[in-house]
Amino acid sequence: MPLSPAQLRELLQGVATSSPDSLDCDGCCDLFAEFAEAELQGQALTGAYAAVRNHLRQCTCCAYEYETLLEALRATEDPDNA
Amino acid sequence: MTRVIASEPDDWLPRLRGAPELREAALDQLREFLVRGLSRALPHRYDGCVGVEDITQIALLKILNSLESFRGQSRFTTWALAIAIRVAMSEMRRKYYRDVPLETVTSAGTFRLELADPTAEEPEAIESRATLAALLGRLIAETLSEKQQIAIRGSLDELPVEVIAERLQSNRNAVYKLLHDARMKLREGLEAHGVTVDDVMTAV
Repeated sequence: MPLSPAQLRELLQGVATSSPDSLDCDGCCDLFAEFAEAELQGQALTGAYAAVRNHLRQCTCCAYEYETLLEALRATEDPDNA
Repeated sequence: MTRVIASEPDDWLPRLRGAPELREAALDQLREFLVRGLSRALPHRYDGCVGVEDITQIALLKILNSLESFRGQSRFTTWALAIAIRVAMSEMRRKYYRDVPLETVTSAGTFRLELADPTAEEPEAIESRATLAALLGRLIAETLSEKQQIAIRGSLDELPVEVIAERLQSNRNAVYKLLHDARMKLREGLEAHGVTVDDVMTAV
């Protein structure tokens, strides 16, 4: 089945925004906890954290998982959610 | 928004590895923490197709079997929650997509990534996109492996990498690499034909 115009646009965007990635999914997920704490505390996301951010831009699966972790983490710190 | 992450006692490991009473108390505390986080984050994803209590139990086993990999770079509870989320999302994807027909992913051997006729796009479709699509179509056919084409098609059909991997009897890392290498190859191919990233972004 041919790609729809929207899918073609998505493919082109993926191609245009791809860049060398030093992490695979496992390597990225292994850094989720410290990356999430650093991000929530507003720390500079350099070095290994920059690699995590780069991977998240290119992997929707990891990005969705990370977004879920942030939401869960916020919920654990919400006094109304005790 | 910047937040202050509350510190926590760093005695989780000795308690979880300690005497039965100590261990049970630590497990209860960790279970309660995980349920609190998962109860908020899971129900609205993938139709909330897993039970929080069940997933928490599975996650606790995984966490206990992974204690040696905790490096102390974050709070223990954040590390444990990250593991629980991964366990949960993996199970949710498996269940959510279980009955979805994946012709593109199961027709290996006959599959070819096919582009729509760019001239059939909406009226404002510009000529440059048609030209780009034609070039992209040639590059896909000539430079991508069949598995790369399957991975790309699956991702454009919004299938998670993990699900594509399962259907290809592969793993998430390998399928992500297939996808990433395919995009990089297409990008290099476009650049070899004088098409820059800016040209692509303008066309889309």
